[in-house]
Amino acid sequence: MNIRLNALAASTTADLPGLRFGLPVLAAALLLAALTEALVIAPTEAAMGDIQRIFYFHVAAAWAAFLAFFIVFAASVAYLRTKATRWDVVAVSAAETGVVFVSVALVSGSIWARSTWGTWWTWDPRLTTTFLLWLIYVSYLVMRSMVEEGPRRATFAAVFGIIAFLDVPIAFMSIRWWRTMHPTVLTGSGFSVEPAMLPALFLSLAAFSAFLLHLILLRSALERSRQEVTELRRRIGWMEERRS
Amino acid sequence: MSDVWYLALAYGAVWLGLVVYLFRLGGQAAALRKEVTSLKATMRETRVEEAGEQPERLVAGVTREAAG
Repeated sequence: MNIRLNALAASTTADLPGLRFGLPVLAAALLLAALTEALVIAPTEAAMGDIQRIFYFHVAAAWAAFLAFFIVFAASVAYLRTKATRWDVVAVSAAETGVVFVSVALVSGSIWARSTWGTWWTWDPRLTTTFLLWLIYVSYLVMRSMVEEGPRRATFAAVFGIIAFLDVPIAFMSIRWWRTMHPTVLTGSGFSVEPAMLPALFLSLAAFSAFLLHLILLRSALERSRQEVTELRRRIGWMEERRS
Repeated sequence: MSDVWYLALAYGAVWLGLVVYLFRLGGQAAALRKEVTSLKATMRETRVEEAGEQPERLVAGVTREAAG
């Protein structure tokens, strides 16, 4: 039991110190550069005007959400293969962070839609499949909170995490498979934006990717601390039971 | 409402969402660290009390910890 507790404590405090300190600095610098590029340097779009500038962070948030859900998928597969708790921790951390980013994409998209389409929401295929994605991963988190911690919950969540990922390619491809009003950024022949806008887009993608990884690391450390608390409580309970 | 107003609203929502989540994580981490410290102290006290009741256990525990 001592070994298990020490291993938990060690993994909470000592993993990847370079990433723990370097990544937030990198993410903050990239976010600042992306913000300057998106709001100041990138040219104003001829048809939409300034409202088009939402696009840089909207696309980057959607990208970060897709990346987070891919991490959930990969970590779930790794958990089922190895049964190592760390993969379950990575999966839940990526799922929660992915939900935050997909919420950001939905809200910023909705504000853009109100300005451009005249409505906050429409049941367009891209919007519907993305909203479905949000619902699926919120269900994943709710389901986890309802099952008692342990290998049973981790296995169930891993299976859920693998099946849930099926909606990611559907949401991504929806603008090609169905008739949609949603603008297309990536077409078969490359990016459908002006070359002068690409630096702002790429910087935003890099900034949100770095920020996503930083949040996943933070959330993973939190999850391991929670496990340590559960283990300590169990141990104290066991000691008190033995005394009485 | 003008385009700039919608732009400010969108960027405000994005940053607010991300910053609130970041602070929530920070707050939870601090609360958990505090709880871990308090639980470890409780465990140490329980151990000492237990050893007080059965001194041979404390001796065995100390020997084991020194060896480990």
